[in-house]
Amino acid sequence: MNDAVETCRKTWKRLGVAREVREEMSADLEAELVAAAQDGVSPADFVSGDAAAFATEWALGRGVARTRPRVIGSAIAAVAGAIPGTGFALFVAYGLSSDAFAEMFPRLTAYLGSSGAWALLVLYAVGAAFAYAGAVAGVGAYLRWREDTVVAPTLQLLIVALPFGTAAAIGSAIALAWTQEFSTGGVVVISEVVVGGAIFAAAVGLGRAAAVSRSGGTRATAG
Amino acid sequence: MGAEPNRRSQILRGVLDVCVLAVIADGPAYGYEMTKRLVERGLSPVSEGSIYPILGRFEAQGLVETYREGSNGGPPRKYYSLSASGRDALAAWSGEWRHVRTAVDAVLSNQTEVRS
Repeated sequence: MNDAVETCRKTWKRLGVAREVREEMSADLEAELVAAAQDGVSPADFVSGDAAAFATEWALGRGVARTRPRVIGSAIAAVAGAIPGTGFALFVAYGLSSDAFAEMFPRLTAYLGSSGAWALLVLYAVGAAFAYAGAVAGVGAYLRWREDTVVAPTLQLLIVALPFGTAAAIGSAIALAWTQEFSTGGVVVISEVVVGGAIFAAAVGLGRAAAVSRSGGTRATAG
Repeated sequence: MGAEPNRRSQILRGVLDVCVLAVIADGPAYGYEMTKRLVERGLSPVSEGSIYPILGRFEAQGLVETYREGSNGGPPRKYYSLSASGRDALAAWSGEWRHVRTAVDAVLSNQTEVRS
């Protein structure tokens, strides 16, 4: 019995249920389990074998689960998810025009420098698509790991809003590069990545905050 | 085709809230007691824990009033009784259910006549 109550207690805490409400619900659950035990119903049967799911449904039904902001975590997850795609785009931007690449692949370099410019645009788009998908997947994985209650609304909002955030991030990085006359110096490139990444992270954070705000801070489900 | 408990559970899920209101209308009860009342009336797919989210929702919506009362040697139990809003909801939801049931019965009886 204690295991079931303890699991429920932890679940309610994770869901942001206020302490006094947690105490009240725990006491109610214990009283119900005692009554059920008198009829031979085990705690596991009472919670249908999944105490955490039972506790979640109950808290959502009562409307006492408060969605945690998780703005910073979402932003970090998005940036981490976008790293492979961003790395690929940086390679296209700087790697393909480097002397080392030209030495290794002289014919390809000559082609890209003349009639293959469209191929560079395609590669940029591929990098951006990877970064976008990676960011959304990263946020989704993080929120599911945290067993968040507004995963789908957050992802739906990010899917729509993130292209604008990405455009703002890329635009800012390009603007910074322009002020530095498109230098490929290490400090300049790092600065561009940091500025772009910060704006991208801020866009994700704003999207997450908007999703939580739209949910009203609490979630209630039917049934 | 044999019985499909999962289908029965799905159907029941849609009307469980009105059934819970109905058993509360019989008299104040704590959660597990309501489950027993439902099972006694043939709603066997109702698991012990499935009504608590519904009770929580009723409480949030003001459809029930609650109080605590000691049990024999055990911890105090939370009892639920219908509020005025709860009685109104029970009347409205019962009417909706009867309307749906009548319509479904009409559809199914036509189907039976076609086959026979």
